[in-house]
Amino acid sequence: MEGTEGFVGPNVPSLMMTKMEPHGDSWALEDCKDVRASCGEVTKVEVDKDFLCPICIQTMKDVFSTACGHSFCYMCIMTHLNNRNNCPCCGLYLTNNQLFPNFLLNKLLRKASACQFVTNASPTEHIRQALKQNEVSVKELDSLLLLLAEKKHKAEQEEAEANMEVLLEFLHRSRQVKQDELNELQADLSFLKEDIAYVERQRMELAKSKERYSMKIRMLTSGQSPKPDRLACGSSTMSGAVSLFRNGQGGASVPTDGPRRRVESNQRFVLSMKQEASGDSLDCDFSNSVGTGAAQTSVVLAKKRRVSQQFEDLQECYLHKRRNERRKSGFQRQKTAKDGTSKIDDLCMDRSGLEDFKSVLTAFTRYSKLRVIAELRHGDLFHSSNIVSSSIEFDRDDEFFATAGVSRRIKVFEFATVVNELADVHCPVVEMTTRSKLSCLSWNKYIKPHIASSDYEGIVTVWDVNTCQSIMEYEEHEKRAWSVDFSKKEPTRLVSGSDDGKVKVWCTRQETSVLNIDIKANICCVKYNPGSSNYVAVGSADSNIHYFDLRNAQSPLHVFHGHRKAVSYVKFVSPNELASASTDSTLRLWDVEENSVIRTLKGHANEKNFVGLTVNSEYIACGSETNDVYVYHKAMSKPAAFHRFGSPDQEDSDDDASHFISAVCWKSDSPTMLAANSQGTIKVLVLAP
Amino acid sequence: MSSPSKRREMDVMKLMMSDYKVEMVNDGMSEFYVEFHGPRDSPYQEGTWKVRVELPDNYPYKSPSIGFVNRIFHPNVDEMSGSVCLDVINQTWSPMFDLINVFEVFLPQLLLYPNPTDPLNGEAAALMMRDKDHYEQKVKEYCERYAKAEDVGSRSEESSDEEVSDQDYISSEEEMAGHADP
Repeated sequence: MEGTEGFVGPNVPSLMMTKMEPHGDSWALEDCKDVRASCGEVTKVEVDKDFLCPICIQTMKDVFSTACGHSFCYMCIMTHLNNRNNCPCCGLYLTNNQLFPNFLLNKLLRKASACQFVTNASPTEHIRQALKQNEVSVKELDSLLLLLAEKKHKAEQEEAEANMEVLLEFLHRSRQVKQDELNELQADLSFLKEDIAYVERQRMELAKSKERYSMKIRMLTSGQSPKPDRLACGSSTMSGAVSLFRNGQGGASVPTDGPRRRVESNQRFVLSMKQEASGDSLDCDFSNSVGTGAAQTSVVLAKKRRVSQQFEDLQECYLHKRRNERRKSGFQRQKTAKDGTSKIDDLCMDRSGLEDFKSVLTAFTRYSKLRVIAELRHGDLFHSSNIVSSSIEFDRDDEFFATAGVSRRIKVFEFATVVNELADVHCPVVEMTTRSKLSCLSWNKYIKPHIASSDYEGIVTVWDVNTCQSIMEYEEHEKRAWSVDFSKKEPTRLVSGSDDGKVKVWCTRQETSVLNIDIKANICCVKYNPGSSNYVAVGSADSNIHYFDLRNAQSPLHVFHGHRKAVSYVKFVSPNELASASTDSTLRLWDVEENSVIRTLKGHANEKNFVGLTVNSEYIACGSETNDVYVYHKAMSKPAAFHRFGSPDQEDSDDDASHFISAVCWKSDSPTMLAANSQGTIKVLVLAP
Repeated sequence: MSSPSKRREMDVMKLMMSDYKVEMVNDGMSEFYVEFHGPRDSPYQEGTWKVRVELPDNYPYKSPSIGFVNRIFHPNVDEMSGSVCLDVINQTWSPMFDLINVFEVFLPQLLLYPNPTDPLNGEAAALMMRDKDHYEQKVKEYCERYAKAEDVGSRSEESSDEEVSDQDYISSEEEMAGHADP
């Protein structure tokens, strides 16, 4: 393009040159001024389309015009004429001979583009243009070179600095992170060391006291019968009580085999210490005989195995507890340091975390499976896939339990009868027929015979099972009601949730609802907080749990996010711990004081149905779509035990897959529970070691 | 020569900026596909075609080659290969035209007013001369069969609904309940 400089005109760039060096032709300057004036406000890139060559669509260069009046770049039209002998615009016959330069147009175009260049081009482009077009002396070039070199050096330096700063920050941060990790590891190790020392001390004490007692007993009975040996030895920490023990869940033959067992893990000693120290009804056998010792080890080994299966989780739990209480005790010490008055027993303070963990571990290893102690079948085995019990609940005293489901019947059974009498078919004590299918039951926690039910038509009914009559019928929900719950603190209050998105609080003394909350999403479950009748947890199909304070019900106290699908059940483990089940195959444990999630429990399968959830103060049980009942310890995220339902008289296992557990219920804080599945079978299960 | 490649790039850019769906074959900007709809008030008006455009090296001095990927019934388009008769394009081509012109003016013109003197599809040309109505009918048939939007491969979005409504819970239970009542 540079080659075709046949038409030299004034060079605008000299204008720029005047800034750097007083150089350039004065006539050039004047020309520029002219151009500037004529250009007016041509500031932006908007090149007039008329300046463009139709062939290359750029400002025309070396403009040649045709006899028919059209203008093109010289090169463009020549190339075209190589192919064709017509005008690209009008198609008229055209050859080289009908082509003429258009000086004026060219000049105008150059002015226009120069003007544009001045306003739009960057300083470097200006410099480049100027250098190309002007004569510059060697001295000037040298000084320019110097300037350029200086600029380059500076730029490089700055870049290097910036890079180094970034690198340095990264290294610092890395180091900080690693240091923090190290500190945490060291802290953990110190916990473990402390606890090991403590537990070892306890073990020594136990051994010593055992010696003392056995000596005493030998002296007393002059060593006649071996039986006294088998009497339990209470240590001084158990306030000297001597009690008879059944062989069972114990396993603390530790003291006798002390030296042999030194290599065993911390956890097992913890186990024995716990049994020893808490003095609960757990069985311990401090016998000296090797025979029973051998029997003990198998139980202990089984426990150890279970521990190692979930080692990660247990470790996590232990560290969590220790770190937490260390943190809390740290605050405590700070506080009292200021007071200067109260004395803290260091030993006491630092033990709570360990004690907590001990109880978790014991509870966890106490049971390994669920045993069936009774089984109930619904009458017709031929229609076995239709009697889904959607709810099974114990009454106020755990004396009776009621079931209800799609069969439109509430059946009340007496628990003792079911467990103690072996019969093929148990008859309910009371059977009430309802108008529509039932979704949930809730006994009144104060008035024994009262039970509330929610049904598929949205009606909430309170029944008296002694008279088999309905006492109250609440007909305000517009769609199916999924859940109903009596308050544990207020005998007259119950709450219900429905597909119409409304939570309604009722009083047994009036027919209309006391309170109405609209959360605008399908509600699957509602539950009163056992500690107060002011708080209600609502699980919804929008995968959130809305926690309301009924005194201020316009908006929830907190909305718990986390589940990925609808929340099918919410139950309170304690006044500040809430458990929830969802069709994302997880259970979650939430802290309603801190508004955070504590743990996610996984292991069962639940993608579609209501499979049941029940909690007591330590364990959480739920059903599964694999026809199994799962039991979790609330501190561990993997199941502690599970039970396969499957009925004996089915041929193919496919049948099993299509059934699922539909309702479960703990018998308060005992290891006994009820479970019902979609075939209508009800089993009484108990946790066993 | 003032940057012929620039012209090529600019033309493709302009085509993309307008409402045409352009799909490049390679980065060299010499071959690409464009979605073309039949011109209104013609028997081709319901059809959508995928048109293959190939720009020669000496574009814009030489005309681009046009080809129909999915089948079309037209006197100047080879039924099997889909390529448009080059002479027809060349005769009317000028370096002044750009790709927008091709799709807005040239191709519609070609479809509306075929050139029977230089046919690639003899049957179509003959039919057009003989029985215009029958010809138009056949054109529409071909449109119906080969020139639907799906043939061009326009992707439709699939909506995934993740919400679990409680209906799901019920369905299983209800189904089971259904068996019970004889």
